[in-house]
Amino acid sequence: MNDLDELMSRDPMELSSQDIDSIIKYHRSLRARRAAGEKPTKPASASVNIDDIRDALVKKPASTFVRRF
Amino acid sequence: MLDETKLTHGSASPFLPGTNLQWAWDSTSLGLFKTCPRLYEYVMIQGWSSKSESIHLTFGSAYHSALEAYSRSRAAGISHEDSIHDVIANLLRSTADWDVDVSTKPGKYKNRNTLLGLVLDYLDHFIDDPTETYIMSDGTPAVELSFRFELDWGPEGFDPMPSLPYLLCGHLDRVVSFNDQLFVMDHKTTTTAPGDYYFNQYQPNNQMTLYTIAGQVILNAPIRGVIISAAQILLEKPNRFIRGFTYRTPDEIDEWLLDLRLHLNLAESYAEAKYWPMNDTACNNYGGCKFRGICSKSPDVREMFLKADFEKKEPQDRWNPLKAR
Repeated sequence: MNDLDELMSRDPMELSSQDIDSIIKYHRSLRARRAAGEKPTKPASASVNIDDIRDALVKKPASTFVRRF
Repeated sequence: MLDETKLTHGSASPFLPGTNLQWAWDSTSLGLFKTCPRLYEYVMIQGWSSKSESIHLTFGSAYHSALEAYSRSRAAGISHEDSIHDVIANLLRSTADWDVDVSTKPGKYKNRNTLLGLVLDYLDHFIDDPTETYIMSDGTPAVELSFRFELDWGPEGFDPMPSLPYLLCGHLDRVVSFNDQLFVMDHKTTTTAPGDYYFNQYQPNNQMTLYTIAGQVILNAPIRGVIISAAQILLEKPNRFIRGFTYRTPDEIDEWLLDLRLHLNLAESYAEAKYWPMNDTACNNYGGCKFRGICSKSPDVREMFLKADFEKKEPQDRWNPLKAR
């Protein structure tokens, strides 16, 4: 969870004036970074562990053919 | 001078009591009817709505409210930065209970974060707005004006015939002066590029013609058309803001009103027959009607699928052209 996520998850009634300014500053900075061509980073939860995928793979049984005529 | 007697407050039912005859129309309900009478029946008469639809409505409504609050703040003499601060603080509070699934396409583009960014980007982009908000006689800015005005004719073919005129209603986002001329401004959000193809959809266009007429009636001024202020929501680039004009000539307005009379006559006959036919040439418009999956089923099982895939709103929660914002 980054700083913005933390601020956004708070009860908005408890946000201070400085917190609001921080959110505004974050969005302006994001706009400037996008204008400069910076690509958004993927959140950590979106990263993929290749070992997890490999372990999840199960060998499929061989196909069998049934003669119907 | 704005005729403030044409502005509306509160709400009442847009239907005549005990009937499905709608006497107060706005561009949304009229657009549904023109597109497909069965679509109109599902939404306006039966009150079915889908979940994904509510994301677009909620996002659009919050965006409009934020821009309205900013205009009011600036008209009260508050600085750009302080107005933004208040708008963002209010937006955080009013959207605190949003629970948007950001793994869906609508949710990815329309959530709290993208809303905050879009509002902030719009307000910074138009810090030196070449259009100026019209100030009404009471000193308040002409933003989010809920209007209603009577036509000089009412239901004609309904038995028994009610003796009341039709009402046209709606909401004007903003009335502005630009190059010494008055225009209605309408805010739109889109995820597609607002180029010629995008703006061409507003000429001809049911909503924009009605708004031009409404502007002329409530301002008693020769409003030439509508400025469409389009905001393109982008996830990897800065949001884009492009404005386009759509004009209506007096002849175009007369034609629209003549067509309206015929459309409403048709609505009367469907209401009297209690049957709203399907326009099966409109099912695939704009990526497909949300009820296409229902209409594709046999008539005897449609109700069951409606109950499974949609929610039926209570009469007071349904779309109501008379509900003031």
